[in-house]
Amino acid sequence: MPSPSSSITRFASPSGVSPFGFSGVIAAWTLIVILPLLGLVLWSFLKLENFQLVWEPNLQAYRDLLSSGRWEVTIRTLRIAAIVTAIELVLAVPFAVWLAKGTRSTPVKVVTLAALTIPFFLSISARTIVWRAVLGLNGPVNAFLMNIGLTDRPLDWLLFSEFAVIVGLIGPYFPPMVFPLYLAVSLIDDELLAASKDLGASPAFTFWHVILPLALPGLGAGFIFTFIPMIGDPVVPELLGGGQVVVLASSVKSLLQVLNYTVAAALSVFMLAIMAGLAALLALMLGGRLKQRRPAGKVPQ
Amino acid sequence: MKSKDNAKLSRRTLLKASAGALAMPYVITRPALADGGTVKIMGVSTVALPDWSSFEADTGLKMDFVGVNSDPGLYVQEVVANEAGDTYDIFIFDGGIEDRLGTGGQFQKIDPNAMKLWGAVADSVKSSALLQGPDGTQYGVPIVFNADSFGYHVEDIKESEPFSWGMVFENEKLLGKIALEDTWLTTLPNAALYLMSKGKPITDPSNMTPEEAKMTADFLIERKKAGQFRALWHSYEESVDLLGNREVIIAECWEPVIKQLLRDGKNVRYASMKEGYSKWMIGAYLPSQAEGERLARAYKALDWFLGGNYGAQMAIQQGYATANPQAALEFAKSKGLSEADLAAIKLNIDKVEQKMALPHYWQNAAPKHVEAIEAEWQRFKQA
Repeated sequence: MPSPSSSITRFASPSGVSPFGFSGVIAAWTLIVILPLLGLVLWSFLKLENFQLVWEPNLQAYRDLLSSGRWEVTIRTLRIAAIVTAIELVLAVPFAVWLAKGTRSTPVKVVTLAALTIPFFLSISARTIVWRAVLGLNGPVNAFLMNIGLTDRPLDWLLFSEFAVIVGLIGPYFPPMVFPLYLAVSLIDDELLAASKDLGASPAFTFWHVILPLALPGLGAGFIFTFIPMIGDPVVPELLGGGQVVVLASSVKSLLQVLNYTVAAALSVFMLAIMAGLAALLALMLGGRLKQRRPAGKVPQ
Repeated sequence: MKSKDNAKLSRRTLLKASAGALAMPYVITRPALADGGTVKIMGVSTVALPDWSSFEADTGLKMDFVGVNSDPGLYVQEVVANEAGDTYDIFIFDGGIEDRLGTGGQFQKIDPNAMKLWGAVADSVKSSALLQGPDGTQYGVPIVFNADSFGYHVEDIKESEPFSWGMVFENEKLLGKIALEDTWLTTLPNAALYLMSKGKPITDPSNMTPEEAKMTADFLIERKKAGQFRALWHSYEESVDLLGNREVIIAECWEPVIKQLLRDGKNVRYASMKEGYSKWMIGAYLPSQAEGERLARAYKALDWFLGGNYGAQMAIQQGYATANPQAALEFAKSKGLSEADLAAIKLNIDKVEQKMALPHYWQNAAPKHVEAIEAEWQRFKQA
């Protein structure tokens, strides 16, 4: 039996993708996404005079970025997004496995999926503003903590802090993490799980060595759908951060409002560079991993 | 096979029909350019009346008011980048913005003869730097003005008025119990006003140089690290919330907040200050694109804003002064409003006169070094 020569299998659509369609999509992508990004990079090297862009390539925008300490905004944004995504992962994986495999009854699945979707009909501001009442100095959380004697004065770091922003981001970004995971896990053949059980594996072993590896694509998709949008979230940090937690969206908005296009572009390019670096790092790590996976077709003679 | 063909056809027709139905609104109704008798205004929500029926009854025009936040960045974005002058007939923005948008050509010069009530407005108000360009060109018509300070819960403050701005910025007794407005337009100059009283070299809080802004930001960062401030608020409702729920004891806010909380039964007061107030004037500006019919309607609307009906409503509901406060009083008397209302208007006139007497400072929506000021403000927020 011929074993595949390359260890990374190319996925070819059974119906065959027309080459014109492929280049058509690439062309559209270039026009709509790549060109504006290049324009952004170009703007970051221009100069601003009297609120007009002047064609004099220089590094003034980047110098402003570094001297005002505004570049720290990117680090803070990434840190918050990373923390929330990690929490989402820990919460979503057991939940998705339970929803896909742990419950057999359709009504439960339907109700849960509806419950995950319906909140999106409300604006995110409406859903977030409730936290201000809950975490406030006179809110139920503080009242409870004082009641049971954990603290004698209301905790002020519950609200208008990074803690509040993290708590506020968990809710809206839970569904984007759960849905891809749920789909991936529900695609796992029940026979595999039954076989694993028959062969004597404990549920934990099955989870770590059967379910998780097979759900990896869903995990990747969930990570991307959660982490990336969270970086650009303008609403939650403004409402729950009390103006003290400045993230990328707030900083860019503030710059655009004084028509400081060059520094806004520079900040965005800086963030893009960091993301590209992280993606390259990830690709290196995963690339090494994939190369290690020998094709499973070697049958002992 | 035949049924499948039929099904395919009917699906296709259904898709076509629904596409057609969705496109209908865009095909049939084109944006009405010269709508007989409607005035479209983009203005700060501060000047809005809850009910414009008095305007419509007096002028015969319909009012289409789009409220925006008091944010100079937004004004520039809308007028310059979004070319709002094509659709809006009047802009009602914070004064000072004409220094940029008037000289930039987006606003047109006001024709005093086009308004009947222009003559009745006091000269000192008409010729405010917040309505005229740097060369004295009259771009703005005064709508409302007031002097802002802060609101506070009476039981928690032992001292008596007038207060120093140190109550807000350097108050050891109320660490973490103070809210500020999230904008460089008011908070930075308020802090500068306080620093001026302590002897620091600042000339004009409303038009700071980059060095003065840096000095003020450094002071604010020091106070922030000491835990002085609880939160920065962005909208009117947030400030009502913060002060009303006793999340903070002192909040830099607008006067209507206090009026609303008093109506809700809270024991709050609006402070009177020693060093000066954050004086603001909201002016109406005409986009350079307005002409002919549109312009005539705009001037008719402006005339109403200069009159007594609007003045009386503003004085009673918000506590603001309008261009012609005496007209407001006469209107109230002629309409036979209650004694309480008349007293409120008289009190308003006195209060505004007293506040305006202090020299500093008039809010400036277009300071010369706005990028540096914004950068210093962001530096404070990030610290």
